[in-house]
Amino acid sequence: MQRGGRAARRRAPAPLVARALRKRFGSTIALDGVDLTVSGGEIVGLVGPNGSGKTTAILAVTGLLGLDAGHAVVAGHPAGTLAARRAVAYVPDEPGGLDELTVGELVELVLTLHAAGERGRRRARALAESLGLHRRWQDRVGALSRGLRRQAALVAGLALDVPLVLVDEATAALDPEAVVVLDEAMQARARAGAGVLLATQDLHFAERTCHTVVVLAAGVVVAAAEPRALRSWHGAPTLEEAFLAETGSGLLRERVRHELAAL
Amino acid sequence: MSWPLSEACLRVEARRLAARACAAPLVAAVAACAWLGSSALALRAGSTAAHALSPLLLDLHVARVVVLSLALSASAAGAALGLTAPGITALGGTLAAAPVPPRVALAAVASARLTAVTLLAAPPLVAAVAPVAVAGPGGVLAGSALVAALCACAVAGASLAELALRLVRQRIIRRADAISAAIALSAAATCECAASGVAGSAPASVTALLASVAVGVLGARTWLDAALERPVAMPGRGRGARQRWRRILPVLESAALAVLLRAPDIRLALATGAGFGLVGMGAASVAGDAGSGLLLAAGVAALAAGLAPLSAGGRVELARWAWSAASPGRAAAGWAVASGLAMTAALAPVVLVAGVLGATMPAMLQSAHAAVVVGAAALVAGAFVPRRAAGLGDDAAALAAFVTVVALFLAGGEAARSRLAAFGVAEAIGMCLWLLLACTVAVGALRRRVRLA
Repeated sequence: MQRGGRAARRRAPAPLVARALRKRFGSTIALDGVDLTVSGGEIVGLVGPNGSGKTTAILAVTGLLGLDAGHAVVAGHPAGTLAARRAVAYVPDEPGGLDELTVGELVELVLTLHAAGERGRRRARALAESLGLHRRWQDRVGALSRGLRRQAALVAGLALDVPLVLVDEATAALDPEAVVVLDEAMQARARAGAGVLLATQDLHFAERTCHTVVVLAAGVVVAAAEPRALRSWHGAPTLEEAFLAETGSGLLRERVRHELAAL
Repeated sequence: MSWPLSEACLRVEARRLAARACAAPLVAAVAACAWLGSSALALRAGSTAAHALSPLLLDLHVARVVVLSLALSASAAGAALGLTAPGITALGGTLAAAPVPPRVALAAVASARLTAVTLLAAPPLVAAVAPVAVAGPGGVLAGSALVAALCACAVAGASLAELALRLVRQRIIRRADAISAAIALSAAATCECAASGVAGSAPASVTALLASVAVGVLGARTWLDAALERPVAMPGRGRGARQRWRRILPVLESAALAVLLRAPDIRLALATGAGFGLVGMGAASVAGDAGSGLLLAAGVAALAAGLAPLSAGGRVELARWAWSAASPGRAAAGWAVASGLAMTAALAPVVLVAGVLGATMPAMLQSAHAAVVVGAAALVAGAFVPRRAAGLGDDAAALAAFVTVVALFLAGGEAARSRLAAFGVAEAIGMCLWLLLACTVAVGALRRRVRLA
């Protein structure tokens, strides 16, 4: 049974194939020919400086943002179509919106729209209990802190049994315990055959969690490899050092220190 | 329609209204009284007007002017509602990306607000319009046709506003724009039929009724498509613009003006006011009455542009750390000047066109008087009930405060005018004194808001 399932997963289309994504906001180029592939069971981390195009890439995959050129295919369907939306769970950076709903109502609404069934509800309850969010189940989302609102969005998104999970700014505003739960939940989704694409500024988290790290800078993919390979290319002890070398900011610390000392 | 999503949106809007009412029970009580009072007053005014107008409505020209005034207001209201309706991003990322067709999701978000606005606005409007239409030569059928035509005009206004937005942002979609223009023309033709119906033609009323349904359905669908494809504003060169203002205005006024003019909802309100004011002037000029046309057009423009002064109190609160550096009086004066300039930006083209079309000086002075009353009332209302652009509850409370203050201003103005006339003071001087008092009250109220912030 399990072997049959694995074979089916191998035959299933990749959760995400994006080619030559281009997006421009006025004179600002947000994405400039970005290629991304997320295979089943793989966790891919998008890292890059602020404004490098991580969120834009994720929004393009959800279909919430139109592209100027290029295409993204989610589980065999063009991004943004109803079939592609059914295949995506999206956890945004800023979980605003229907803030007057309670946590329970919000999670239930997301599960209902995705036709998640009883299994999804059990998963949501388990995640909420792991995060301690079940104690705030009847609280309105708008009354919670940003970290707790993000936890509510994580519960809603990671409870879904879909081929592709998108998590923007994965660890932003989360406490260490919530980060552990998030890590385990994403690993569980990957073990179940889903692809995970996350954007993060937390390089330690990316190094620990991601199978592949894609470095974006000014809308261009400057490197895409396993974290270990990235470190070894630059002979860097940590992914942070490798990241600074990839984005051309290797001497940043020395330069800032020098400039501030000169003032 | 996705019922779970629509139901959630309705629940959220209801809770927002309730939360606003609980946060400010006094304002909520005043708003409820204003709502009930306005319905009763509208019924009385409608009944009075019905007696006066019913013989006049036999004249097609008069019926046309009445229907045109109402249709223009309905179109402006529709445009304002459509442009300020929240997009699907208001659902939050997770729900916006859910497997619901975008058109259905937008309908769910917009219908919640539309339902609430309709429930709030319909009773006083129907109370005012129905007696006039029913007492007229066309009877109940003409009244129904007029209400349907006004609904169609509101939808056409929303669709036309999307077309204007695409033109401004240079994102023309030929087919969609042609459909929007056709809907606007059809709405105008429907109004002509409704006017004939009000003047006594039963077949015209039936035609208006059927055409209104068709225009409404097609217009709603076109609006949904257009709103989904609404082009985003490209990042502007804000710094450059501010530098230009600073050459003319002091720093406080230029900063306040920048804050007001860069808020998308205020920009849209100003553009809507100017647009519908110009359309109204054009229509009045075609009807051959530029004088009363200016008052109507300037009134519509001032009401839409009044969002700028209405939002001033809330905007002060948003950046209280910045304004606390100046004295409250100075900051309040800066915001009042900036609000006035923003309103002037919307009114100036209307007055200019009216001047070209031959509007008289008394009509211009009356329009300026109306604009100052609206601006001052909006400043006072916004200072007491800050509009923070935080959803329907917030907007409804600010709007109720605005209506209440306008009513108080008008009643106070009328009492002051008769009292001053008894003392032998000329009407023009009395009017100026009253306006000066209104502006002083407005700046004083804003000063209080700055101090509290």
